[in-house]
This record gives sequence, structure tokens and C-alpha cells, in this order.
Amino acid sequence: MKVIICGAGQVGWQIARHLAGERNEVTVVDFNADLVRRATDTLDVKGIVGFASYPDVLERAGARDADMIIAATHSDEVNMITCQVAHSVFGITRKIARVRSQSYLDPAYAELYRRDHLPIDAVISPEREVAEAALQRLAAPATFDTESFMGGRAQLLGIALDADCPVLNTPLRQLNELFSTLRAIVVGVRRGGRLFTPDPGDQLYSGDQIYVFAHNDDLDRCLEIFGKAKHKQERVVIIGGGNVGLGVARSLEARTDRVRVKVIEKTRARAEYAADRLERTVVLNGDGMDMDLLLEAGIDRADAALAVTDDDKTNLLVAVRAKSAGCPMAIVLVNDPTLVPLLAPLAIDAYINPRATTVSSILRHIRHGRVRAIYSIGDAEAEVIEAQVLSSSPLAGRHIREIEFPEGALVGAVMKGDKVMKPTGELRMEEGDVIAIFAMTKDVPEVERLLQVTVDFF
Amino acid sequence: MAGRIRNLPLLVILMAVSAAAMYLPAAHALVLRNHVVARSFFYSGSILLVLTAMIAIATANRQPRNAARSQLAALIGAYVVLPVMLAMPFAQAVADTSFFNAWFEMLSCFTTTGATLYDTPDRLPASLHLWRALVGWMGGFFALLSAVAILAPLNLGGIEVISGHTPGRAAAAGRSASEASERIRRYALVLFPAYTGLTLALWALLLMAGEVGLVALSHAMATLSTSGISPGGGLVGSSAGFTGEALIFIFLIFAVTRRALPGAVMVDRSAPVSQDPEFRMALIFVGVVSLVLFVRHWIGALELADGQDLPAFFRALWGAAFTTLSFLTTTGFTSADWSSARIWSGLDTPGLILLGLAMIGGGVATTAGGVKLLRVYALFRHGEREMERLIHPSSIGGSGQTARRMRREGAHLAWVFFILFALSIAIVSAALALTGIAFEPGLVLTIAALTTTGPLADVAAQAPIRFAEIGTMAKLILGFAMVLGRVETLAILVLLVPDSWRR
Repeated sequence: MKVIICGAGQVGWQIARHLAGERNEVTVVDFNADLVRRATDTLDVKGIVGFASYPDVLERAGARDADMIIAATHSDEVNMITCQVAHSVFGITRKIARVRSQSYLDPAYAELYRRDHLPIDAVISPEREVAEAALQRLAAPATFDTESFMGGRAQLLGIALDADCPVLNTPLRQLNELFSTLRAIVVGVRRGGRLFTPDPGDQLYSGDQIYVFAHNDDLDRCLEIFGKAKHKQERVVIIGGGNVGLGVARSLEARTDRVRVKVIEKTRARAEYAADRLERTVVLNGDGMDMDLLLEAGIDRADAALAVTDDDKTNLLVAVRAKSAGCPMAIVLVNDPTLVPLLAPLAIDAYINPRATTVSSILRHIRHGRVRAIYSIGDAEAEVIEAQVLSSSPLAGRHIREIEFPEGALVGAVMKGDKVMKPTGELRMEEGDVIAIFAMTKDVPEVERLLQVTVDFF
Repeated sequence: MAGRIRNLPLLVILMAVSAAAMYLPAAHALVLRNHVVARSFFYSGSILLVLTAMIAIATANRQPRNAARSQLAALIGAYVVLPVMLAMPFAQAVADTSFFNAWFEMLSCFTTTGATLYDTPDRLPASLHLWRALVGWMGGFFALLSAVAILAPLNLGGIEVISGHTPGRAAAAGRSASEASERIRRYALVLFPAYTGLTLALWALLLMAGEVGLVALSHAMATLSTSGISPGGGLVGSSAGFTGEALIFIFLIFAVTRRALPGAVMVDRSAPVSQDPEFRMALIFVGVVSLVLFVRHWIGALELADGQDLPAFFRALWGAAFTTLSFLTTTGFTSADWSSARIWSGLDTPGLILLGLAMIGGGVATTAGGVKLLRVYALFRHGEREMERLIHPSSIGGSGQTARRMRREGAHLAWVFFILFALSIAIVSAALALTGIAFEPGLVLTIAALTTTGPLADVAAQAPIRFAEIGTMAKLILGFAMVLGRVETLAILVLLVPDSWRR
């Protein structure tokens, strides 16, 4: 497939890496020659220096025979115009744009993106995705990673096991028999920095980080079994009043269970902007690193601190400050994946990588078959793919036991109709079922082949 | 020719209008065959018109340096010159009165205060009652027009609370003479039909409710201009009864918020009326105060074992609600049920509450006086915000740029005004004390004059205070206070600041 990616920033680069790794013909367009050179040096991609929305630049990038264009520059308007040019001049069929501004994303104006208006197939909003990720982290304080699947009926939980976990040193097969009614399955284990999919005979040890796929109704029981008590978040301090912080604060405000939120923002104008859009939330103006200000926000009595400024180091330091002041949980926004290993020594509970969230939501629209959701785990070490089983797929009509899944792939859950079930060998896959598969990166193409329509479909 | 007239100084135009208005009572008196009154109005009007025409010719080519400021001077000049003119026919028509008393009466009408020296029934002929009501009505229109066309461009008259700019400083665009007079003409053309139409509508409705012709017209004029001038003893003896009061109650909304009339400045019409700060403040004040007054009466009635009387129950509630709104808008009508509630419960009038209401006043850029609801609102919001800041010193207030400006600069200017108002009360009541008036009646008279709510003197004190019994010096002081209350202290200060006339 021929893909043009406009914008070689963090998001563009990451998508290019993913797509180039899957043997697609990728062209990167950016007006910053350094960024383009970085992409062409490290990845197997073609680079064009120029303004992304100019038709002549797109033509040079090979827009005449491209299958897809992904507009991920910093400007919403450029992204929109790029898609329009790609549609009107070059007739590219699939167009994805990153749009940040909240006004463009208002559901009331969703009609804007229709084919005969502004032809964009998928609008990706990084800030919104990150805000959602932050909310999920807040909702499951005992986990370090969460993502919902199957339309919110199932969740992927990342749990760090400690010494008081009651199910250590027990083979997973035995756990399965012990808790036969629990609709949960361990799909991945990270031990000593290495991620793998467990066999039924594997045991869990203290210090492991595990990924569990669980039915929504069984979340609390599941967390309890792995030694994590769930408690409600009532006071939240958000440091950074940008689109992410504001988005999270607004969502928390909209919730019925009165969460008390305080937002700290450094720029006065931005703080005023945020204060205007919030009702009950208190917006404080000042440096988030200032201990007096943190105490004014009640960090010592808060249940969680969320550091979402645009500076990674500030986020890390604020989180450490918050924890040292007595806040039991700190979540940080980290753009640079190389900082992630620092989180454990700094005792930071969870992190959000906006790049990963944006990339996974863009990738969701690129995959073949009826892929409904994709979640990228760690530094793109594994993926969870949720997809609908097509009639022509090799999965259809077969028992799970009979399907030749690759070694690094594990079925997390199956949804028949709107009922989520725990996968067992006896379960028969039928057309229209939704299946969620945890797959190591090297096995993703094989899983995609299983989900894809076979040749005789045509 | 029309252009020439348009460019005449504002004061000259106002003089011409006042002189021309004298033909109306002249005609009225002629129809009633009261020739003495008709003659005095006709002659005064004609002489003054000729005089005005001569002044007009003399001043036709005058080019003021700063038009906005010269109009402000004309606005204050109007309160000095016009009452003297207006008093001329009055003093002639009423044989047994001094010119000074006629002047006080006219000033009180023109500032929409409505304090009268001639409160004995049948003291004045009908045509003079019409003249009083007409002067009050014109005064109301002048207040309305000057608020929109003269004070608003200078950031005065309550607009400074919204805009947050320094009062008395006009935008550069509003300085040219033609533009300033054009502005007055435009707003006059927008406001006059609405103001007249509403008055006529209320007159017609009151007539339908069964009111006598002249009384209905006076009350309609008094309601729209919030002067509270009535030929009889107010609403108590009115033949329209409850319906008449209800109609007046509805029309008092034009004194609560400026957005009820067309041409209002700085109004966010996209927000519903229910979100209008002044409307909401008025609603809260009327609701709370009338409830408190009513409960007080009710408990009093229970002690007299009269609490079961349901019609009296509702009459007391209505009387409280109407009187509250009437004094809040500085009109000063008292509901007929106000006194009946007193009889019902056996408790006397809580005059202090009415004093407080009149001091709060109606909406900015309306005909009402007092501190004005918008300033009170700004101070309230500011106070609320300061309470928040006690807990979170670095917090930022929300609800938009406009609200933030009102809380900061707006509240500051509102506070300045409030202090000036309080100082005026202190100074005027001290001056009244020097003339030998006791403290309590002195205070009531001061507030009545400063808030342009003449009837307060009748209702608010223990025993009704009669303006007719006050000495000449005190009348002079009260007249000054009325102008101060009408034009607002800030506007006068802006004009008197030495820098403004030295430049």
C-alpha cells in the first residue's frame, strides 16, 4: 500500500515507523528538512521537503497513485486542506487528519467531515484521546495501564504484582480452575523488562507486571484476586491546564459522583480560559512546582495527582513532589518514551504517552479487516487487536482450539452478540463475533492474516 | 435648516423643547376653561420660545473643543437652567406661592424625584398636575437619553462597571461635535417612540381598568419615568384598584433593566432575560424583601388571631411585593394593600427597608436612581470572588472575560461610586442638620433626594415628613442633592476635575 504521511513530528514519525515496518511504501512530507532527514535516515521511507497542503508538493510525494494520506502536521487547518487537496486533485480514497481544536471536534458540527463537504474519513484528536486515557488511569488507580474494549464491556488491565499478591507461584492453569467463574485471562507478562505471552503452565512472581483481560463486571473481583483494593477517587489535582488537563477536568466535572478537581496552570491567560470553561473546578494560577501552590491545591489530601503539562521533566518532578507531599497516586504525561524506565525509581504510578495513544488510534484506521480497536503496549512491543470475524476469515466456523494462532498471540475475550465471554478451547467462532487478541509485535502480521478476508472472498 | 438646528448646543434644544411643552397644559386648561392657568402657560411658553430662538441664533456657530464633554456640561446645565424656566408658568398660575417653591417643585419633578410641596388635595388645578406629570415624564426621558447618548460614551452612568474603563474618558471617535449630536439624535429617534408608546399603552390600559383620565395619564407617566408623581394621594385612592397596580407593576420592568427598551448600550441580547444580572438582582430583592415583610405582617396577624383571613393574607403579600418593586425602582408608589396589611397585623411600616431599597435603586441607563442594581451586582460578585480567594489565594475566577472585568475594574468603580454616594449622604444630611432638621427626618430626606424617590419622606419615617414644612435653605440643599442623585456624583466630579476644564 502506498501511504503519504504529512508531518514528520513525533506522531508522523511513529506512524511511519509502524507502516514502514509492515512493508508499506511510505512517503513523509514536512517543511522542516531536519525532521524529514531524521525519518529517511532511520526508517525505510521516502522523504519530501515542502508545505504539506500544496498540490505540487503532494504530487512530488506521489499522490497520484497513493492509497492513503495521513495529515498529522501541527496545524489543524493545514491538515484539513491537505485532505481536501488529496481528495479533489488526486482522488486519494482514504484520508485521515489529526485535528486538535475543540471547536472542530464538536459533535454538533460532525457533518463537516462528510464526503461532499470536507472529505476526511477519520478525524484523530490527540488531546481528546490522551484525556480519555488519563481518565481511564484515574478510574483504575491500582493499575498502571488500562484500555477498554468491546464497547466498554471488557477492560485490559496492567497490574504490577507485589509480594502480598495471594496468587503468586501458582500455575495459571490452576488459577483458571480455582476461579472458574471469573471472566478474566492473563494475556501478557513482563518479567525483567521482557514481555511475553504466558503458557498455561507458567507461574506469576512478585515484581511481575501482568496484563489481564477482564469482563467489566468482574473488574473489582479480578483486582482483589491480584491483591489490589479499589477505592474511589474524590480529590484530584491536575497540573497543566492545556487541552488535556482541561479535557480531563471537564469530564470529571460531568460525572455524577462529585469529584473535586483543582487545576494548576502557569500561564494566566490560559488559566482564565480554563476557568471560563469549568464550573465547579477551582483553577489556580502559578507554577506547578511551587510547593505552596501545591499545598493550596490540597495535594496532601488529594487522592491523585495528574501532571499533564507539555514538559516531560516538569511532569516527572511535579509527580515526585506530589508523592512526597503525601498524594498516594501520581500519573504523568510523558512524550519521550526513553523517560519511561525512570518512572519506577521515581515511584510514579502510571504514565500516559500521547504519542502511543495517537498512533494507536491512527493505526486503528489503517488495519485491514474489520478491526474495531487497536492498543499498543509498551514501546510498541505488543498490540491488542479487537476485530470482527468475517465470514471469509480462516477463524469463522472453527473452535478456538483448532485455530493456528502464532506463538506470541493469545485470545483475550470473545463477544457474541453483546455478551462478552471468556475464551475456552470449546468456543466456536462464528461470523459477526468480536474477538480481542493480544499479540507480540512480531506476530501481528500473522494475526492480521487470520483476521483478514481470504482471497476467495473476491 | 434642519442641519443647523441639529448642530445647536444641546442646552438650547432642551430649552426650546421645554418651552414648547408648555402649550400642552395651556391647551388643557383652555379646554377646562381655566383661563388664568391657560394664559400663564401660553405666555410663558411663547416668551421663552422667543428667548430661546435668540440664544439659538447667538450660539449657532459655536464649535466646542471636546463635544462629549460639552454635552456633559449641557447635561448638568440642564438641571440648573431648565427648572427655572419650567417654574415660570407654575409660579404665575399658582398665585399664592413663591417662585422659589415653584422652582423646587419643578426641580423635584424634572429629576423624577416627585417630592411635592403641594400635597393638600385640590391645592392645584388639574392642568398644573398635568404639568407636573409632564415635566417628570420629560425628565425621565432626558435621564434615559442622556444615559445612553451622553454618559455611556464617556464611560459614566453605570456603563463604567461593564466596560471597566476610566470614567469620563471618551473614545477618540466620540469627540467630534457632529458625531456627538448625531448620536443624541439617533438615540432620541429610537427611544422616543418606545417611551411614548409605552406611556400611551399604560395610559390606555389604566383607563380600561377604570382609572380617571388625568390620574391615569399621570400614573402612566410617573411609572415610565419612575417619578411617582400623582395628582391624588398616589395609588391608595385609585379607582383602578388591584388591576391598576398590577399594570404598573408590569411596566416597572423598564426601570429594572435597560434591555427592556430599544437602543440600550452594552447589552448582551443573546442571553435570555432570566440571565440578565439586573433582572435577577431585582427578582431576588423583591422576592426576599416582600417575603420578609409579609412574614412579619403574618406573624403580627397571628398574634391578633387574624391569621386565617385568606384574602387579607394575599393582599398583604401583594402589597409587600408591589411596594418593594416600586421603591427599588425609586418610583415611590405605595400599594393600597400596603396600608391595609398594616391594619391587618397592627405593625407599622418598616421604613428602613424602603430606604435601603431606594438606595439600591433600579437598573443602569434606565430612569431609576440610587446606586443601581448593576453596581450592587458587581460588588456582590466581587465579594463572592474574594471569599473564594480566602481559601485559594491563587485561584482564577471563571465565567468569562466580561464577568472577570466586572469583578475587577467594574467592582472597583462601583465601589468608588458607592463611597461617593455614602459621602454625599453624610454631607447632605450634615448640611440639613445645620439648618435645624432633626437627624432622622434629615436622613430620610437626604436619601429621598439623592435616590430621587420623593415619596420616601411620606412613608419611610415614623411620622410623614412634609416638604412644605421645610425651610428655604433646606430646600436648596435638597434640590442640590436631587441633581447630584440624578446626574450621579461621578459625572459631576468628572466635569469639575480641574484638569478637564484647564485643558
